[in-house]
Amino acid sequence: MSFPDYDRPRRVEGGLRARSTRGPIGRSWWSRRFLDVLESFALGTRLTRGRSYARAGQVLSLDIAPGTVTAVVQGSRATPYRVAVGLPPFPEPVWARIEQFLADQALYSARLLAGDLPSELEQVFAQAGAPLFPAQISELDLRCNCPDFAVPCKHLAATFYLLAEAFDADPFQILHWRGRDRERLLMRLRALRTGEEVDDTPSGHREDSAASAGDATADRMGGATAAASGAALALADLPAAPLAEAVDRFWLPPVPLPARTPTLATAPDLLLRQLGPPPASIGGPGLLERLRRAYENLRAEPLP
Amino acid sequence: MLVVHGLWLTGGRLALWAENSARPAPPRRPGRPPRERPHPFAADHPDLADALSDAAAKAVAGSALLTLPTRRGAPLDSPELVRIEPAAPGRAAVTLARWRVPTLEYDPDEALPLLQAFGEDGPVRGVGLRHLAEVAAFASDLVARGRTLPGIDGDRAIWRPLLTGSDAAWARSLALALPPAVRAATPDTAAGVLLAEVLDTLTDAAARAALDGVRLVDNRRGSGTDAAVRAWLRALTGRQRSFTAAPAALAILTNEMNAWQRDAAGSPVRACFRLVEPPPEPVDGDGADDGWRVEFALQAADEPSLMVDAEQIWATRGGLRALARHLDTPQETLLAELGRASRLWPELAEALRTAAPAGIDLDTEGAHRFLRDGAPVLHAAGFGVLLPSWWQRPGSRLGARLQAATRTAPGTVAVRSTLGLESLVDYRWELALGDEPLSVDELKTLAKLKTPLVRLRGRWVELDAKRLAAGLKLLQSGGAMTVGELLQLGLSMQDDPDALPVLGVTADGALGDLLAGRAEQHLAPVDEPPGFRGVLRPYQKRGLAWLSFLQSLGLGGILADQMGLGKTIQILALLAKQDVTAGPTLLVCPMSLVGNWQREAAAFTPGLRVHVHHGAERARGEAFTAAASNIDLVITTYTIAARDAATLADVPWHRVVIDEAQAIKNAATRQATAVRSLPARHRIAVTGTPVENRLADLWSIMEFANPGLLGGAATFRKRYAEPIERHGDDDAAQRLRRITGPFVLRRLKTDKSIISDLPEKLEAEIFCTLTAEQASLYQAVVDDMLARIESSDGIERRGLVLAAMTKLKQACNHPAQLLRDGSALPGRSGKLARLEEILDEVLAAGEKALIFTQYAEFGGMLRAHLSARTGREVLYLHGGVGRTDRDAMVTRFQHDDGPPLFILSLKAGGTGLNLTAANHVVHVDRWWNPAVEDQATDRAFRIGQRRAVQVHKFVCAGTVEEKISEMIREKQGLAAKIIGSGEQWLTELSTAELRQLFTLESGAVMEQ
Repeated sequence: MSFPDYDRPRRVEGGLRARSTRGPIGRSWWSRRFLDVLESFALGTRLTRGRSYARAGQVLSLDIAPGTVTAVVQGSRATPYRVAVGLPPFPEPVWARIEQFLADQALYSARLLAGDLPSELEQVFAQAGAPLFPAQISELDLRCNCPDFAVPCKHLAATFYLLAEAFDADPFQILHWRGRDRERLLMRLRALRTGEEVDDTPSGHREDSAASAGDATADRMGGATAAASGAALALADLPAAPLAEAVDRFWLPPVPLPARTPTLATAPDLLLRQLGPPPASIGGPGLLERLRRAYENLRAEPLP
Repeated sequence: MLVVHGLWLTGGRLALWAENSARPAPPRRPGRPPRERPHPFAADHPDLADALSDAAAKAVAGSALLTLPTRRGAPLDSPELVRIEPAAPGRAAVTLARWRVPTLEYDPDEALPLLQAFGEDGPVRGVGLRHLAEVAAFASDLVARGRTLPGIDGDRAIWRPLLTGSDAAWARSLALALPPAVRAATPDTAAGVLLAEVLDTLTDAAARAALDGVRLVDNRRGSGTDAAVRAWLRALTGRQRSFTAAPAALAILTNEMNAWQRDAAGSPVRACFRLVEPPPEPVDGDGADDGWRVEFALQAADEPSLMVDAEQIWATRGGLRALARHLDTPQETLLAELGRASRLWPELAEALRTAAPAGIDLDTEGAHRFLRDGAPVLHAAGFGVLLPSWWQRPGSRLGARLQAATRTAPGTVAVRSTLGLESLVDYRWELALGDEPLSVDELKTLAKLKTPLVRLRGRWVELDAKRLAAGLKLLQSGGAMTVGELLQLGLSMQDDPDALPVLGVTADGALGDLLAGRAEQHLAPVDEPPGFRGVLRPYQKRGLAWLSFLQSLGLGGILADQMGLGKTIQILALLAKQDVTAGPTLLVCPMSLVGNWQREAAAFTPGLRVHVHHGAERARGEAFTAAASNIDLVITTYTIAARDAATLADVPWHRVVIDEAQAIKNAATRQATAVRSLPARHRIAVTGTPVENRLADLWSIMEFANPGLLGGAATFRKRYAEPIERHGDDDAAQRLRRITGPFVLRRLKTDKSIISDLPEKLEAEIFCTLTAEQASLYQAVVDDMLARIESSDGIERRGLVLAAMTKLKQACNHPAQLLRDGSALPGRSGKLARLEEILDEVLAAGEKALIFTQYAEFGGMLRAHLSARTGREVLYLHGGVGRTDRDAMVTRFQHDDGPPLFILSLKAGGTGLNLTAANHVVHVDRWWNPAVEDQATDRAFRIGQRRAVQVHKFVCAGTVEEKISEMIREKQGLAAKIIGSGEQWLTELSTAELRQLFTLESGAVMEQ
């Protein structure tokens, strides 16, 4: 007889891996708030195993939709388990109230679009009679087709952790779960601002454009990203001057070097201030402090 | 002689290779070259290592396959390469072919210091290598300003440059001006791609150099991503760049790092913040406190004039036509930008508590906080910031002015200024806003306001409470002080940031003129003193008055008149004017000018007792001190001044004059310290280079003329040099001008007051000295040739005389020309040294020069040497240049951006051409035929020339050159003869006459 629950899970290639590989998962207050609910249940080993599942990439897919998060988690059996986390979406009238609140103060949209979830947002939802985060685990409809009798099981726990990271990367995802996807929300806020009729039939074009607008977080979720610095960015579109066309002025500058224009005097750590702390998955504020030490040393003392 | 070139190899390594003029260019072969051949005259590894001396130690020997311009089966010389035989003119087409050269290769960590260390001394460098040094300097500058971000490149940690604004523009300029020669090893790589690689690599090296010894993380290992982060942090310092991490952790690290840094460079459409002043008249009584506003807008980063106000953005539902190219959801873009900006300027958050914020209302203090703190940070982070024009302008700041009045003793009539440093002046302070004085009542009202920005007479002013209090206290003071104290107070640097800045010091009479930098125009011109033989032009009389006036105040000065305005004459007139009992003057100048000074002194001030302090036999110690007391003018060189510093310091000099004062521009050199430490009552620096544009030079020279005036070197650099040169700070520049203005006299030939009495063509014979090497060669030629001439006659004798003449003139030009050995040029010829000095001034002033020589081979040497030394293209026209090429050269030279130097052989370039872009003509050697020389000079001095043309005719003092020059001047008949026959007349001279003519006179040689 075998106890599949205590067997090692099957190895997965290309699963979703938690990006944090050490310590607690969830860097922002909002994902912490969410995980607190889970961790308050002190599920012991299931919690720990769920976390290592998340880090090992056992979660094959994660899909956030209004009211439901569905995930596919590879356990020890051949067929992966199906996991669902249900939380009732806010009804339309509630959303209408929330949207009015949000539209009244541009700060909320500004912060959301810059990748933050302003902490006051929780009060906004509470004020509208719709707490953003579940107070108890019983508010969540937790399902997993694994044989484990305990709920939440480690598969659910793994899903929770990945969900928290998804919220970290894009705070709009929480709102999506609660019933409003990013594009629709932005569109309705825009309509409220301009005082126009809400056009509720999302047109494909507008969705695309809204998704691309000022979005710093959209593709943090996956895919290789390009470096944000490097001289090539500034030199990309220069005219190519083939060597063969330069035989007569081979040794000399093709055009004279102009006088250099003045540069701004800036504190050496300006870039760090501008960027804010990096994600917790790569060290968070601690990494920022370490880099700050480097930047302090970059500034050359003026020669006497 | 070697010319070292730089290459950038794929994989981030610098490679150096060199051409060696000692290796002959191969015979020309027609036909297509094979795919790859060894470069025929590239320096081999030992020669290359030898030329680079210490710098070769850290290199790895290698070889590179270069794509080089090739004609008839041989690679073309670089312009810096000096060959004895100038290349025969080639009419065959130039194509690209591949040549293998030996190289020395450097890792980035070695390449950076190497590129930074190349100075004027090292081996001759090609323009490409200089360009790479420029990129290295840029990389270090970026790192010092923190414009770099740590990242991951594969499995390596790397510091990459973050290029925005003017940095991006500079990188593009560097890429566009990249000499193709740097790409010779990587012909398929575009200039932009290569430059990006160079800049990335050197920025990484510069950051590591700055972080030498810094550890960002301890050696603990960690696990998972944490281990990767730690390994990465370790690899960000030190030489080891690669680090190991699990592939998954590495992927996470890379992605997260890139995502985190994404906003660093700013978006193509950015938020713009515009500070708007309150309306001119406060609406309600004293409500001047409020009504400031920062308005929001969106702006296209690459086209800042394209701006859409937030109000308009909120009112528009879809895309905006103005910014359509850039985005189609302007509202969300504006919101995201404002969200990002609120991280840097937290006050912004409060303004976003409305539905459609179009701006933030501020009280006066808030506006001041924005101006002082918010705006600079937002601007630096790539947001647009528009501030009112009065901000940061000197006129909008409160400052103090000191007013002084010279005392006239009661009962006497002030005939002439008897002002000295100890004279008393009455003074009082007043406070002023820019140019406008403020009344005490106004000041008291201001003090009550307690706001950092106040509106005063319709203008906004930044007001610092501490400074205002200091100012009010200052107003209480007043009384009398000495002129010395006044100058100290009004002109020296201020170190206390809380003190009220001194905006100006005004005084009546001559003192006031000095302080205002107008002394030269207002002083009564001083006529030629009795001992002076010559005529001073009006501006020279004013210059003499200025020098005398400074001397009477015990102050030093910098006489910086443009070349050709007669600085030497003004100094000599000053010497002639002085009381014989005052004591000796020491004149320090480059070796190349000693002869000139000697001759000018003999011509204009024959009464002066002049002594040249040089040579192995020169007096030292007490013997010198004793001798100096009976001399009016001691002339010496910078080298001797440094060597004999102790001896020279024992003499109580009345005055020390340094000519070509840019020789001490580097304050730390032995020469500079030695010259500065000479005790003297009066110091004058003479230079034709515009010193005010190079601040480090200015400091060093002013430290000689008026020690302490500009404060310590480090303070000066921090307070003036850096803000002005790096950040274009007009305020600091203006302050510096005010302080230095009284002590620098620079007049240009284009000044209206000068041009009216300046001839259109200024001719001067420039007396050069021989180096010891030149003199011994000269002597050897004389001995050898005279012996042979003596024992010959007829046609043979004639031939020998002409040959002797040629060899002597070659010795006067340069040893390398006489010896034809391809040896190095620098430091071996008095003429070359003088030519370099003159051309430095010409280039510094943005002017152009023609250089004539009658020797084609010397022209070739000069072209190579000058293009290597100046890093600029030097044109060279000789008999072998075809008509089409010649016309192209002329057109390019005449163009404003064209090459500034044009060497012409007298025969090829003496007639016909129109070269009016030049306003300097140098005759390096002489044809003794004024008509031929004038004809050459007239290439520049002809219709179309709008400036005065300066003609420099070089003559080696004490040699046959000077003697013939003298003969022509004195005997008109001889001149007529020469015009007909060139140098033929020489052959008719007797051997005794020839001996007299050729013999080297004492004083012609200058030891260096």
